[in-house]
Amino acid sequence: MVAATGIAAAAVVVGAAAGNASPVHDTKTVVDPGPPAAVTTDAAGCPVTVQCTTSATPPPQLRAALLRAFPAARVVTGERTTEVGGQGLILHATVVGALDGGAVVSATAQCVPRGATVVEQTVRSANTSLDLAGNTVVHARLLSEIVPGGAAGCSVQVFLDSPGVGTPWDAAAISLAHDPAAQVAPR
Amino acid sequence: MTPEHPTPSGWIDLEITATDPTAGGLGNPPLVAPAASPRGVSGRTVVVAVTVASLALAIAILGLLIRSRIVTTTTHIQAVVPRGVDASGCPVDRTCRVSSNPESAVLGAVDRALDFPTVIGSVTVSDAPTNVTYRTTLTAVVNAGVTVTTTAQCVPGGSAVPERSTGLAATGPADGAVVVPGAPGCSVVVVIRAPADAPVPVQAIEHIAHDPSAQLHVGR
Repeated sequence: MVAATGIAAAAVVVGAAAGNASPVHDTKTVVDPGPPAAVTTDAAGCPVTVQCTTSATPPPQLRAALLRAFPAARVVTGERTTEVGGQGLILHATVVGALDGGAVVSATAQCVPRGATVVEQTVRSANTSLDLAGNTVVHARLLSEIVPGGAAGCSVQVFLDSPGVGTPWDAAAISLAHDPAAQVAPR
Repeated sequence: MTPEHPTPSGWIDLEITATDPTAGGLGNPPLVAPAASPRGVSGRTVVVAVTVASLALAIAILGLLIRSRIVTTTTHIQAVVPRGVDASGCPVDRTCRVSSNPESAVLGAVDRALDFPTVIGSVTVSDAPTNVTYRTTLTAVVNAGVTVTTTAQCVPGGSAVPERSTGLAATGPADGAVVVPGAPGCSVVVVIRAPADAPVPVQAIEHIAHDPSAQLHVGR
């Protein structure tokens, strides 16, 4: 009986301690830094870590790619951003061509250092409005084709703005976007 | 037992005889339990008491262990890092739409500086769900052979962009650009091409590039 009394007393003491105790909450925050951030590029496609020069002359290979896909195109303007020093790599390039009937096609190639892999996508849309009778009037068909390059961060976008409802140049625009010569080399 | 027989001398003779302790009777009463062992507390009761007390102690210890434990909550946070933009200016992990309409604020800056030039092409890339514009480009023809292309861009989460400029002469040929930073990740570039002997609108180009309304704004 003495032992039972002692054990019961111990149970009371321990129970009282348990009643006063409360769990200790330990909060840990683990930050996963993720992949290294892509280098920011300016509006001309120059990475902020690189010294560049930008001119309004498109690179010959991009101009040639445009004319392969659109032999009747007239190159109206373009752009080229080149690394100063080093290998003199072209980091960003654009060429704009005028087509018959007021259509305009542009091709832009770019590589973003440490950029993620670009996903290929085709987006078709139209500039439309409603006439007085409530009918939809198509003013222009738009096509944007984005094709990833051979390296992560690199891609080409071809944008076609065709007045009217027809799409006579869609195939040529998609062909231009898939032309490997339209891509710029990664840095 | 030991019956006593008094003697004349005062001595008491003790007679020791063998008896049966379990036998009853007047001269031989039965044995009783010792006074130290209370009546009604059996061995079984003691065992039950010890068991119940032990069980209570075990439960109390378990409760103490549970209530005194350390609860660790681990929160994993994935850092948001810019993953770059594609050739259209759309961030890699976003869905964008493309339009042939220039951003009105940028068009306004160009119209003010160049007195409403002819725009021969424009592309605007916007976030499909939020309508935020990431890049807008418009090409204007000022006069014969002089083209001015203005591009405003914002890279979400991007870092500060340095300013740079190509020295432009007042008379062509000219082939250069002016880059002016806006908010971190944002900038405007004005690219000009002018043939030989053509007047170069140097001031207008500087105005466009430094016009705050020509900059895009993207929430970080």
